[in-house]
Amino acid sequence: MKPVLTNLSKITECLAFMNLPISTYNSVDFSFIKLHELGINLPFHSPTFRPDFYNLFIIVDACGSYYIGDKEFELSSKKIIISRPESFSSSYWTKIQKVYAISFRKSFLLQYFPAGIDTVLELGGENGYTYDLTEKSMNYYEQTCQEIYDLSLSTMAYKDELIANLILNLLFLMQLHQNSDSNLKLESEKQTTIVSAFRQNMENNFSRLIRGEDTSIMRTKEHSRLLNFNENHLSKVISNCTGKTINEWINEKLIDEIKYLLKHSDKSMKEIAALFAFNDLNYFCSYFKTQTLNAPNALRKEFNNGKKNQNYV
Amino acid sequence: MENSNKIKFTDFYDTAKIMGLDLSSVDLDHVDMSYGHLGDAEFSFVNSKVLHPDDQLPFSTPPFFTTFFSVGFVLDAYGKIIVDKLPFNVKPGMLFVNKPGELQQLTWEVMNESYGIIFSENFISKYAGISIYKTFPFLLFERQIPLKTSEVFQQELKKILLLIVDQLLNDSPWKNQICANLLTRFLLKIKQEYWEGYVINNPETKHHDIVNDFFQNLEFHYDQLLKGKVQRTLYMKDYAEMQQLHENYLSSILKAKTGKTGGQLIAEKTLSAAKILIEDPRLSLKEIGYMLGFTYLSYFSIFFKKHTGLSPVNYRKKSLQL
Repeated sequence: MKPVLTNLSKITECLAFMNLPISTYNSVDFSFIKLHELGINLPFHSPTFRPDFYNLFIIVDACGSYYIGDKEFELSSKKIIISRPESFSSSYWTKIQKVYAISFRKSFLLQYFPAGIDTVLELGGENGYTYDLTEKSMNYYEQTCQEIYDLSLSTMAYKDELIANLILNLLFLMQLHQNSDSNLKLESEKQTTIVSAFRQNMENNFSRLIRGEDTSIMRTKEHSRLLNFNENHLSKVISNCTGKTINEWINEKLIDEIKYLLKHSDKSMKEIAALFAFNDLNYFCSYFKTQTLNAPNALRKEFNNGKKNQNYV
Repeated sequence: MENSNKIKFTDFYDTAKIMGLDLSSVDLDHVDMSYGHLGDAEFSFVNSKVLHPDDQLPFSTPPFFTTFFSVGFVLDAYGKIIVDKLPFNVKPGMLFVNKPGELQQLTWEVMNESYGIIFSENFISKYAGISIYKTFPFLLFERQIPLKTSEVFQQELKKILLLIVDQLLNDSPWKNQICANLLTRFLLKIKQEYWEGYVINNPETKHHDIVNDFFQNLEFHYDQLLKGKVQRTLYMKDYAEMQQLHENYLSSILKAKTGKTGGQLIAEKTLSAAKILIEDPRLSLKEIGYMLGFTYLSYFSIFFKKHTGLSPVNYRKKSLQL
């Protein structure tokens, strides 16, 4: 069964769509949910969303999978997982004993801590990141979650600042973990800003495209114009910092999105092609082939067959 | 050993450099909380109990000018602190705050538990992205904050301090960011607890008003300058006019209260602004110089080199390498 495909992006919209209660403290900018207290019927397949917020799951005890773009993360006990916005994502749960879900927008953090957080939110150039926790760090994370929960329920002054501060703290700790296997070489604070601005523009462009607000994919020329940089300079900064050229970034993102739709939706090939502004189905197929060395149809079939086999076993 | 600690303590405030040297001699085999101080020139943690063992009390520092913000968190200790010739009693369950450029002398009589955090303005703005003057104005106006409230709250604050120590001990690549984050939480908790109904205490003398206003004007102007909202740099005359004072009068008060001339204070601020701008590779040095009121690049270079020992070009190279 494929999850329902939606374009919903706001935290409150997503919650409402799943018929989950929206508390007063669940705003467009921030929400904290104890998944295990919601009484979700298992197994639960969440609809596909296209969030404009970061999702942070702190899993004490649960099982399932999380899909973002082409990536699949296994959800299991003592794990922490974070996903970036502006990418199709859905989740599938078979067991929920104790899971904290924190959703927040970048602007929520920026509001109080306007600088120096770009690096943390880049997730080393990936869409999502996960790692296993030790007993000790699990306790620390759980305590922090509890603190955030208490704060979000309280009516104290400056609670948002404190929540943002605590979230940042978790992010820093994650970053610390990830640091060893990060593939971004960020030379200075300012270049991070450029990279993250570029990524954000690119992702926005895709989201607007899907919502039908844009008509074409932005390339180097449009990106440099938007950021007020010289084309060559932008290309140089991006490829020096990330090891990938602008076109590689865009192509990867595009393929990522297409793959998600192929795997987790019933949209026809033609619809998918139209969504990403390909006028011609043939061109779409050949583009996909050159990028992935596989035909889109074959990928979908392989995935479906693989899933069927799993179900039989 | 104790003796050397004592020297460290006084030097510690005096110059950042000596402090930096101290660190190399820190013995990592020690257990948690047994350090007198941890950290570097930008951010440090002090455990006064370790620095001042009972047999050396009462202990008095010589009068010195601070170059940092410092927050003293007194749980169980007695003493006295003289700031700008005004004495305050240090008692259990209070917090004292010092801002840079104040003449102070600290005396401990009984010492059971007291901690201190020392940080520069640059540290918190660089790693936590916030401006002290906007987010934590009480650091500028308050000298002491009573922590009369519950034991629980004090323990909560202490827990944050322990986390900071833990971070300082684990030399991780994100140490600075995490420390800034924890420091912000520490200050936020205090703000949350005391801000409600907070009125800026009327400073004891009129002079404080003038000095504080001057610093605020200075901060505000450079904030605007960095954001590109104003182009012009201001001189002592302009700052004096803002407070409807005569230039010479303002200068003499600043000199008496801070030990530095107005020109020096402005130069210091210019320098810290220059450092921030130089780290931004998008701006040319000429542009930076012009933004900060230097008509010729060579003036800017000479000024920068005089104060930092590095030319702007070398400083940029160094900052980009890090």
